[in-house]
Amino acid sequence: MAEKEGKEDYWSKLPWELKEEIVGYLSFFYKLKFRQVCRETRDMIDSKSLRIQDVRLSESGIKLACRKEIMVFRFRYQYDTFLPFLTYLFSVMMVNELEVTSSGRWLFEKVIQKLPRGIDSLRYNVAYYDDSEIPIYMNWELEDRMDPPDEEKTSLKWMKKLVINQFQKIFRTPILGESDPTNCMLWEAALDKTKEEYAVAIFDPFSPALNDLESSDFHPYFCNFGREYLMTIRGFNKMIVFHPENSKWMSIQVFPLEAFMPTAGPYIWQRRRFFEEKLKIETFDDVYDGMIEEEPSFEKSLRKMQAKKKEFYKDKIWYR
Amino acid sequence: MSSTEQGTSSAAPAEPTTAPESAAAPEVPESFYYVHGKDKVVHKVSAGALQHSALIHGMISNLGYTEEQAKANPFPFENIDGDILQMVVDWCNQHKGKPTPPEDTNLPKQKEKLFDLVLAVNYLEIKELLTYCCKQVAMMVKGKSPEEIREIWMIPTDAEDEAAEKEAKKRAGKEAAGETAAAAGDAK
Repeated sequence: MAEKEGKEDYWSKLPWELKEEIVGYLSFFYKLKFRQVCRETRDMIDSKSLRIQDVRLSESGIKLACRKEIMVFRFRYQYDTFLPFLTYLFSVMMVNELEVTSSGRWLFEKVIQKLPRGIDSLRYNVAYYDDSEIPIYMNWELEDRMDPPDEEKTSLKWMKKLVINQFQKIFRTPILGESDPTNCMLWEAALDKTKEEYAVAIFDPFSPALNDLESSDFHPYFCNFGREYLMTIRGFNKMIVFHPENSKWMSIQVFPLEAFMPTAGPYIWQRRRFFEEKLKIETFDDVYDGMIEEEPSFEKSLRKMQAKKKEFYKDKIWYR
Repeated sequence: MSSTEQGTSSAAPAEPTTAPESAAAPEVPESFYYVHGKDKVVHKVSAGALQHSALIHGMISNLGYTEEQAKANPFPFENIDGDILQMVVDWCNQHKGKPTPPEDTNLPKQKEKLFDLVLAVNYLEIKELLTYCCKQVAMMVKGKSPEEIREIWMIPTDAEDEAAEKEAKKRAGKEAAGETAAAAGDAK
């Protein structure tokens, strides 16, 4: 580093290891400030990860909290300016808890291609039908059987698995009563079988309380989840729902949010007849060859699916 | 540095600046060693105090000097200023045989001295003191804007740095051209 004329550059006198040690004593707030001093400090700080306790990302801005320090960056709709900064942050920071609000999800999806390894727990907020936000917590080690190898932990597919699993736990069971536990296994198996870019989620969108077949409405929890989450996330372009009339699993297309008019979003979820007519419907048999017999009994098919699943996971150590 | 060099530079050690502390271990007589910095002023330091410095400790254990030999051959640290070495020696004497506290408030606040102290302590490999010094330097950053830090520590901006690099390159190019021209002239 060049020295100013006639003046001594104190910082450049120090060896690299000492500089690193000094930078190590700075809090994340001052690291970000110190990063702006010169090229060398910028390279040095970028080479190490930043430890931040809590991060909250919404459409309006990002809030970083570490011990007593809190930093808020307001985007003020200048997303083009802030996106590089967000990309930088997600590449270097190690976070205890990252909260992504329902409004900030599109930013999150835009910034990350792969889940950052440095995030211990992710809180994904899903908007409920009354626009209140319901958090979905995702810890990477939820249960014994949900502990995949490291390379799988950061994939978006894994994140979707967790989201749906948590969604089932949080929404379905407390709100609508005990759901079929094998339902989770079904979509898990489906996700495993499909490619990343063509992920499939399996849902039972009908409330168990509304067993009368005349009611063709989806429960609002499902509309919102579908509208707010599935349609805005990459990869979910197909979804399998349980058809109670003929006891068949059917797949429906999930379009990106832009494909709908603002008012048309919930409608498509509420009227089954609408998508039955308008959208291409595949039976579950098309997706899983030979898994369901010609006259399917739901229980029988589930048992068969469980056996298949056991076989599928037989040599996967992490699953046991 | 060889012992002969030391003999010429500080043949008669001046008055030791620090008094030995012999009260702690009365049974075994404590051995003393001598160090001097750039200013050639010799400091008498006990072996216990010098244990803080991994560098000097290694030297002592390898050399196996007697008292007389140590007196005749003070350890030379030509790259450390006298006042900085004095500070280091004082710190070692203060913390001889004591557990080091989590914070040290007696460190210099002036940036010139602090940076020299960091370099000296790093050279002498005094781990605890180095930690304090680095923390102190980090404290200097707190509450300051990048511009202020740049001004205080005399760090050039990216633009200035680039300009200086360009100038240096130009100068080097000119010098090289001059040298080749001179060589061609000589050949003629």
